[in-house]
Amino acid sequence: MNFWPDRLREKHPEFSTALAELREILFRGLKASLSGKPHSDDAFLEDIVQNSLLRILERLDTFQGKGKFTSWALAIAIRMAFNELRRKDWNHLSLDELREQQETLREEIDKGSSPSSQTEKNDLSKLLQSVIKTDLTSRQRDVLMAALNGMPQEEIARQLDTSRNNVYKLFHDARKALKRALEGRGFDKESLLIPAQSNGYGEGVSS
Amino acid sequence: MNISRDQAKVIRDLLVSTQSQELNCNELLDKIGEYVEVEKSGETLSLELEMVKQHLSLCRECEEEYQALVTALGHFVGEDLGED
Ligand SMILES: [Zn+2]
Repeated sequence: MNFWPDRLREKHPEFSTALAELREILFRGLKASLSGKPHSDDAFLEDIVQNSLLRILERLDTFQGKGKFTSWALAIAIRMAFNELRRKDWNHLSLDELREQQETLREEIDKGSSPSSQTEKNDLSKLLQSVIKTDLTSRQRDVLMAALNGMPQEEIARQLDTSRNNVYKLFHDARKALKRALEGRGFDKESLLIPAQSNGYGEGVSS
Repeated sequence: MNISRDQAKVIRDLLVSTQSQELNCNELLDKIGEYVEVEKSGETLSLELEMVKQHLSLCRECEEEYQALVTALGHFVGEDLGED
């Protein structure tokens, strides 16, 4: 039996004790898992623990009881901590700046190519580049580009004025669209990268 | 949008792991504790927990949080956290 959720109901006689115990567990767990990370001093951890406790109490009914309650609660606190740390760590590039950066890549690819790498130029990057243009929406392109450049999902969500969940959905939809597009061009379903038949893109794709 | 060859390889790997049905980050959050416990016990993953594993292979943020959770839970090994 798992009594944590019951004890954390405000009317339960052990409510305060349970809250204090959970606070201690979250603090120690966060301290262990974030040790050595910049910006994660005790004051930061206290703030995260406080906000996590509120979130956990709000979400008590969503605990499915399949694993341990403390693992579930720690996962919530860890997500809150990382959300905050990633926000602090991000170098504040905007999606516009990333788009510009991404556009200069063509020049670098061309500059860097030697005659022997000409075949490789006909490879996956060219094919992908083309299907990214034709098969993705502009928001899907933004999310893919941001992900390729290491922009945290929370930051993408903030800049696109949406949620992390929605960013993941855009990312998932983008991957599905690209996969469909490649399959439509003869790439085998199971081994995406091995063309089912020679179609001119084979060379270099699997290299 | 232009992409470099290295980025193309990253996309290729992402596409290899892409499934038509995937958990999103919030759905994962409710299952990740159980996943860590089952994984540690060596038991076979249920279909649902296989989806957790698949999400972790694609989502840098959830993977980072998963590693942190493993560390946090490792810190409490042998302690009674009032679960029984
Ligand atoms: Zn995720």
